[in-house]
Amino acid sequence: MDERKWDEMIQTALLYGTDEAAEQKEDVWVHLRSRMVKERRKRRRVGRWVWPMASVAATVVLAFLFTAPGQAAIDQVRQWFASKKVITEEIEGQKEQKEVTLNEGKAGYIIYIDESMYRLETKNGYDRIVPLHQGGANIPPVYMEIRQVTDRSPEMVAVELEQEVKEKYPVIIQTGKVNEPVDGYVIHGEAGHQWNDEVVKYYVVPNGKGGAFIIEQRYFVEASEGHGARFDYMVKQFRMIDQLQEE
Amino acid sequence: MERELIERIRHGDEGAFAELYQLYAEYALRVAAAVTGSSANAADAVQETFIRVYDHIGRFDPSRPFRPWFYRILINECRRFMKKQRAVAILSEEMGAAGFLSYEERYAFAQYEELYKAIGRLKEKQRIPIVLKYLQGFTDEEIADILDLNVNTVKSRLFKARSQLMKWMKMEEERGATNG
Repeated sequence: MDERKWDEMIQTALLYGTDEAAEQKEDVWVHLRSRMVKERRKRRRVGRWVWPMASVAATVVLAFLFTAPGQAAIDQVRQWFASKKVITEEIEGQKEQKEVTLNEGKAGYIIYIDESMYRLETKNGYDRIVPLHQGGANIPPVYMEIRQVTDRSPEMVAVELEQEVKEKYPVIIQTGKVNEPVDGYVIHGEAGHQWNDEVVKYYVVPNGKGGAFIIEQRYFVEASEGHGARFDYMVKQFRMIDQLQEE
Repeated sequence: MERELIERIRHGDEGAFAELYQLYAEYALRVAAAVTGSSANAADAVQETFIRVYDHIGRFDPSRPFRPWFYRILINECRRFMKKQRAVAILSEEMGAAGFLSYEERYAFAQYEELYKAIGRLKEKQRIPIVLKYLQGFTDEEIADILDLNVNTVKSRLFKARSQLMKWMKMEEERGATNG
């Protein structure tokens, strides 16, 4: 075989074979960042006893202490997470490379959004990710709403939503615990099998403080492989700010 | 640009470290997966590598290129994980689904899969230079620097590895032909 062709084959085989590993990039970053934050805190605690008020580290600690906590968390998130990045989505069987942008929701989370297709807006006090172009009046609205509840446990919220969905939607696609795209509960129902029948999908994600985030997706049957899949890719990038700070 | 990034990390700029991660992580994960034969080990090895880079960036000589220094740490971490878990470095992970490919593409895909498995069957001392050369485009000299070997040793290992791969692939092809 021609030398150059053989070289190309080896290279392509290695690229194909390691695609799955490369997709872990985000997860590894989250773990890595969390470990580094823990390490830094440990060092800071030791530093306070050993060299009180005498080092650059102490200046950093002071700066941190005098910054509003919420703002500090957001600033930290901005520093740790790329403001833009490219992800691979598989939509209707086709792999697409998408540039996504870091957005901070009011309910205390971050998420990456493909801003060529969606925007984050506030509706009735809640964060909503909506398509830049909604369909006509005969098509159910498409959006993903994210809110946080602090007065009920994730389990209670999941039970309530399951009851509500079962009452309103005759077709139940899935309920119960999931690990993908988030660790939590899913309740997924459809109004029917027509192309424009409404679809609702809730993810309930424990917020680590006894409450939960509710991620509500709305679209229609025919958009399941489009908006539905894209929403799930976005949910995969969902991170709670409180948890990021605690890590 | 990379030099400036390293300088900023040396001064404790965590944003610069995040940028470095964006630049290096994907290929570091690929190299680690091809060397260790496991995506899980790759994730662990890459995480440890970045921690080490961050902690020991002060030891890095800025007059030298950064990439070989980084990959030396990565390969050491990969070896540590393989030893720790007594991992037999066989690249057993299946490649992604080939369901949407045409017949010709599927044939090529199967060939690549075979070839990837064959790379996994190489001895570690041959596999690592192959991975560094073909995934990262390192020169023989750079590979020798990363692995702390003589350049001629690297050349010889690459030559033997390529010949072995070609032999296995020919055998595979003949077996396919015999099976009809």
